[in-house]
Amino acid sequence: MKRTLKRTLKRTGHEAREERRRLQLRIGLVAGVVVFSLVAVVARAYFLQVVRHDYYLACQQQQRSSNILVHCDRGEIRAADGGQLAINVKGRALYAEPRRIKDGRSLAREIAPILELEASALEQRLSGERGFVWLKRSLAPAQVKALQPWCEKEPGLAFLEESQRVYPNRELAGQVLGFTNIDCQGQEGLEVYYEKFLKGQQLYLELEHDARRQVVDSSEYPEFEHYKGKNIYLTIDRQLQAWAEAELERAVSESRGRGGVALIMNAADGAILAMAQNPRFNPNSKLKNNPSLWRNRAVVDLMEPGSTFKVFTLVAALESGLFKIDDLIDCEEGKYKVGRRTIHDTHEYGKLRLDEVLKYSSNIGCSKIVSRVGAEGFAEVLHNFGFGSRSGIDYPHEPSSRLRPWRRWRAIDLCNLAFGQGVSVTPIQLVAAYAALANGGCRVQPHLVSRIVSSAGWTVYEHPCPSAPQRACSSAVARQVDQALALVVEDDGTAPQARIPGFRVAGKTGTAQKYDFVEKSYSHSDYWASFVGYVDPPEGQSRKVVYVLVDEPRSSIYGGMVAAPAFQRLNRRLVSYLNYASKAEFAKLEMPETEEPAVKDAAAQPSEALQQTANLMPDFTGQTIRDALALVGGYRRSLKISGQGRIVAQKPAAGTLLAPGLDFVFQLSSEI
Amino acid sequence: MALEKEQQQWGRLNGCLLVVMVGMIFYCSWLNNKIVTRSYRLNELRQDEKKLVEERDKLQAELATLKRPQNLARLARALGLQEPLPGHKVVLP
Repeated sequence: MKRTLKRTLKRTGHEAREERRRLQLRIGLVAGVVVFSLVAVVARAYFLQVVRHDYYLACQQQQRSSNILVHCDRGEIRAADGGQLAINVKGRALYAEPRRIKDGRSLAREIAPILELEASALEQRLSGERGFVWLKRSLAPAQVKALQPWCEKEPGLAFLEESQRVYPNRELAGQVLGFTNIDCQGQEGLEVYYEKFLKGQQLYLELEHDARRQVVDSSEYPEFEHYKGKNIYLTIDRQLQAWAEAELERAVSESRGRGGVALIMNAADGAILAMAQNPRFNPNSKLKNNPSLWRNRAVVDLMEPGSTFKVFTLVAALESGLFKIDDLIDCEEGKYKVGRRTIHDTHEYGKLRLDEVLKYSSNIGCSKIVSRVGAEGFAEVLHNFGFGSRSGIDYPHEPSSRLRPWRRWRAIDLCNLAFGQGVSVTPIQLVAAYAALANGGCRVQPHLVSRIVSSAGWTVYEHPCPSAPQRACSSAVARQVDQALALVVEDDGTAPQARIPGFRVAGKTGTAQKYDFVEKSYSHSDYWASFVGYVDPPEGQSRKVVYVLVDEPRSSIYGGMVAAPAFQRLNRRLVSYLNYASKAEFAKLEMPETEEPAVKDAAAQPSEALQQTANLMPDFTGQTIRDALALVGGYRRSLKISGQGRIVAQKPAAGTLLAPGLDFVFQLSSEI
Repeated sequence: MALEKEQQQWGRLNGCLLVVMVGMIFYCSWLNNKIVTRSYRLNELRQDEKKLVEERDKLQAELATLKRPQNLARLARALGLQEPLPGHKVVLP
């Protein structure tokens, strides 16, 4: 029994040891597998995180984030009164990724009518393996709405937000402002001159995406306002500009002229208050206009000043000390021979005082004066007034006035110069020279921009006040010449039409023959008629030099007949606007009845638009109800309007012949 | 006896740690989910803001167009207004 028990115990102990050994083996095996797995995981993690770190980081960034280029808005251009002259609105452009488009042909056929493009041209753009192609920029709101379903359906078609430059005052100061191209880069006028201030910065923005390419907002969104271009404030006053354009248009149309220029400049600081031109130009539709209209003739075009130049002859005479204002000049009864050439006056004058030479605009009197002053003395005076160089106005492409070196002047050249022939100046250079006279003989630099303000509100530039102005002539001479200029508007002067009752007006007429480059001689039919002068302001205010020029007038050729009335009408408005008039003077002042020039867009001019479209229903889509009402008013139909925002649908359809009694139905939506 | 007590204490501590850990995991997940949801919402609001800014810009452009001196003069004439007559304009000192 004992033996059996011993054997059993011995076997049990052996089995227990075996069992433990097997258990240890299993544990060791599992532990080995776990350890091996852990080592494998760690090794793999090391491989991924350390060895291939850069590669997988790049992959992750590519999948999770994208960089987009953001063009921050261009700065605004504002008038002196703060009115917006050039602003930005957001628009949409349509682009395609041709390599992602399956059936370019059918897509082109479907969207070509919406884009108003040829289907074949569009198909060509959509074909191929290119990664990006513009289809149309600056889409109208109605086009965006019509294309929306296509963009959702077609992966290779999408909109891109873009900024569009808008000139809300349309033709007002169109040539002065210039315009930008489709990428909002300055191309003409102030837009190009101040490009470095106006243009907004470009930013790269990193966006984070989820697996479905939805943007997960990044908290590091920059304040785009800080990267906008700077705002420019002009010296131009919108009201004066509008009146200058209106009066100029009236002068041009009444004289059946080809065009014209009108300027108003503050003589004390050189600020340009108005710079008008005719024909006018709307920068919003630059491509529909003749490129010759883009040119700002007040700054860019050189022309002979004619008799308006005689005032500098008088200055030269008085500055030389050889003449006194009451000296008599024999005007030879209208004919005076210089070498082989004969100089004529329009009337036969005998002996005239120096100031009367200016009053009656005698060519012979001026010729005799400069002959005595001499070429060198006269040239010095002209240079002192800025002739022969640029005025320095902040506007691109200003040429220097053309004045040959005085040593090369022959006797006849000198005489011609005395009455404004053989010299070419731009209107702004002439006005700047007159401003010096009006300012007591001190020259100031004409300028269009008064200050530049950053988007944060900091003034980064301010036109400097003329601390030590350059003297063109003595103040005594300027005073004497001013008195002589006041004689011009007397009853027997050359421009009584420029007179304003109750105010002292001083100025000078100009009637310059145009040079015919084909005939190589002065034309006998084409002239520039001009008037330049100023009205004396009350004490404490500075003089404003006003210049009106009409190109090739036909009703009359004389500045006193063509330009002086426009000068007078413009000044009547100016003296009222700038509070020159006391109550008593104001009672005498009659306002001209010149209507502001007609606006050339359909919305603001329903009658013309109606005449053009006869009895066809116009396309109102994308317009505001206000614009549409302006047009619809002419049709005398009843209206049904639903929704709010802009017009997205209309009945009858555009182009439908309008039957009597048919009502208009407009569907509006703000989701354009 | 003492060993059992010690084991119980360790068990409770482990249990607590486990609860805290699970709680933190849930909290982090909830927080992360909130961040993502709010980011989407923020992005939507940014888009809305962009649309409103666009609309504002368009309205400003329209307002500036309507306030053109020529337009105001035309509308004033249409309403029968005239240039100020003598004595109408009073300049305050």
